[in-house]
Amino acid sequence: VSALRLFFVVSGVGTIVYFAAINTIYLVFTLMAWRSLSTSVSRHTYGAIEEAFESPFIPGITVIVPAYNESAGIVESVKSLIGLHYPLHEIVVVNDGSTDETLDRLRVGFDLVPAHRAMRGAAACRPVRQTYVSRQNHDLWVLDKENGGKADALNAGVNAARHPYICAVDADTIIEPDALLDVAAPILEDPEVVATGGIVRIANGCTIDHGRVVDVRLPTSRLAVLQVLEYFRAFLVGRVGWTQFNTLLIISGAFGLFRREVVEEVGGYWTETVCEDMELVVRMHRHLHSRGAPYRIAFVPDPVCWTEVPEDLRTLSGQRRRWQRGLGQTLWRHRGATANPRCGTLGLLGMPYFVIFEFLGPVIEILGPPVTLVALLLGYLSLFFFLALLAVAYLLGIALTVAALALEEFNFRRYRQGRDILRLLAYAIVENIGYRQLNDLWRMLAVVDLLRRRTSWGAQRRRGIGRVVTGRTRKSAHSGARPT
Amino acid sequence: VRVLLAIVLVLSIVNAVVLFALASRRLRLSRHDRRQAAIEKRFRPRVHEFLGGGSDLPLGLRRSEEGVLAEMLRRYARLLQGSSRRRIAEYFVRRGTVSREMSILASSKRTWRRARAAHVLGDIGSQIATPALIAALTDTRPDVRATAVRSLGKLGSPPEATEALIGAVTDRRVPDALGRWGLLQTGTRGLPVMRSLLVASRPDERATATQLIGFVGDASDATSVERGLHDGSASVRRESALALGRIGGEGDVAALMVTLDDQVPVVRAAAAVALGRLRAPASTTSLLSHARTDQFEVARAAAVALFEIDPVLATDTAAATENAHLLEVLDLGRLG
Repeated sequence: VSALRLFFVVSGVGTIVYFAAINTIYLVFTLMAWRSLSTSVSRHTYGAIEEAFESPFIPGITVIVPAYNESAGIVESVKSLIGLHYPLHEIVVVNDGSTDETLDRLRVGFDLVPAHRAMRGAAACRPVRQTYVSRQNHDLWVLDKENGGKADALNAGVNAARHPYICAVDADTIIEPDALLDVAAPILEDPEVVATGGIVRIANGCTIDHGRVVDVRLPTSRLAVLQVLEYFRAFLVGRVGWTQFNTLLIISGAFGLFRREVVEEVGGYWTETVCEDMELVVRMHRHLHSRGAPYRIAFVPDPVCWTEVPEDLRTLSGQRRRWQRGLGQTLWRHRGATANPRCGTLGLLGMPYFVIFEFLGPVIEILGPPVTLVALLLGYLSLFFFLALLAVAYLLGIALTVAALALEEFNFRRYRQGRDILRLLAYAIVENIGYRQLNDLWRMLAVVDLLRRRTSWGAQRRRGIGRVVTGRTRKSAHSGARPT
Repeated sequence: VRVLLAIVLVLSIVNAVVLFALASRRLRLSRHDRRQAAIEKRFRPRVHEFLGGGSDLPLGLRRSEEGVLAEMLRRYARLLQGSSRRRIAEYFVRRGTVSREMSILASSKRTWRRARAAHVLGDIGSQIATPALIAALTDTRPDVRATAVRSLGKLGSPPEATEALIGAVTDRRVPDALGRWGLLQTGTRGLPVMRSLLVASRPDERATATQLIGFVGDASDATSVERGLHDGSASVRRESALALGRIGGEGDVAALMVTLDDQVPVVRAAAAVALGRLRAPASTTSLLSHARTDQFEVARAAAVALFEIDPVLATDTAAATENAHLLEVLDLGRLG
């Protein structure tokens, strides 16, 4: 009995400590985000971004678009990328052995002709079969290569890049016209910045016209609205917070800018994971830290990349389990950095946080409440204490979500319809009952998958949103952009 | 339990207050936006008449109306040049806006207010603001300094700002690309200062001056720029080579060919670019050698230059050697 009691006491205390720690971290990040976002918005309003980009001295950017079976929306997506407001950029689309008509659509859509392209060999990738250039626009290149996955395709793009910065963009996302200008602003302001990432927003429910989001609305799907709140928390609180410690570990694969030289130095993307975006950033941190030179990896809350999120539970669970397995792989690969003082804030803050709260957190959050309940039933815990703890957890959850929503509302106000905000407020109240636990369950199952060495990534149905001409985007299911 | 209950109470109140504040703020903002739009619609014909040289703008407006009118005029000022812009500047000088914003820029403790003032002064475009904006280049906050550069550029970067701007760029007080953009707005008026800086003690100053002379200078500057090819600093050598590609002539080819064998790759690449721009036939053998054997960036620059100078030689060599850079340049050349 005493062993059982000890187990419940330790579990209960552990759950409470975990709960207190994660909420404290989020509260601190929220406070930091308030300050940081208002500075960022002021800089955006009164800054000199447009003038800087009239300058002939700005660095060029190669936009790399890995594409696998993206025939549905690839032409619209590339058209929107060509139209980005940036004075010196080229587009390199990498057709990763698509089995559909992706290459044919590109050939016809942009009048492609075969042309030689000298390639660097800095990042390993599967063989490139043929390179093409657009007859209309010599800054648009298409590489047709053997299938090797997204990371492999990105590596081919890195090898073909001509400019000192590369911007990885998912083929099924929509980038706002000024997004490249904004995401590149930190590299102009501070030569120590080696990578930047922008905010990813949810396109479900928005009206899209010729590859541009023209009316920002909330999705009709409840599941998608819940993800809108989740993305606010992840991007406006989480990433802004980590940027303050220069420990940003994820730059979303859907839209991230990197100094090419550094990507080449670390050998390009790791091809054995679907979490290639996070893995690359962690590797860059370790490499740059070991070199001893000052560097910064920044998150820019303004540049907007729109992506569609799953609207059904099956696809969402698959996506979350995939992400969690990718996270586990990255953490395992870089386990030497965890709690390692030689890796600076990455080792002492970033990696431990991701191990405890992002990777193991779901297990604690799923198993904690039943254990506490059993402790209550066995009389090891007072009922009032249990109920009060539950109420605190619930109300804190609401407070953090509402704070993230307030950050959005005070700084960006992208949802212009008043009723959209009222809906978001209502969802902020109910989000903590059901959805959060479901998410934790999927992520815990991914941890189990990893322990059982199940590493298949499952199918990623990618249908593309660029092709929607006008009207609400249709329901679709694809890989999406990781918000964690 | 008591502590937890207190936390529950506090959190409940905080949540209720924030939820209410967000909802009511949104309603208030919607009303405010509608009101602003209505005022703007009412003023638009009067503003157009004023910009076209017609009657003056109304006086004795309410504060909200004045704010909307000022914002409209600043928006137009960003887009307009010539007499219309001058009228806007004169209007703001008369209304005391320029002196008020200059005072905010000089003395406000809040960074965003100083940045806003610098921004507004640039929009207004009155030359009266020049000294205040030059002083703001040494502001403690980078945001204010960057906005000051932007606004000096909007004012056409008066020549008296050249030295301060070069100092701000070389001391890395302002973003490099923006600072250089600001300097370019000076045009040829800034040349005397830039020429004097070609022999400055700091390599950064020499490199910046050389680069800008490459953009706004002329053939008479080539001799002094060419000296930079022998500078101890690689960035000065690189900028000198690039500048000679723009303002140099046949007399600079021999020096550039020597630079083509510089130990630093970016300098070699710059020399190749310059030789291509100068269409120097004497350099084809060297360029061909670099296109075939040098590092990626240098080889590519040499291949492009070779094609610009002698397309036939580049074509023949590409076919014979299967050199990737030459083949790429050739394919692009065929497309025109």
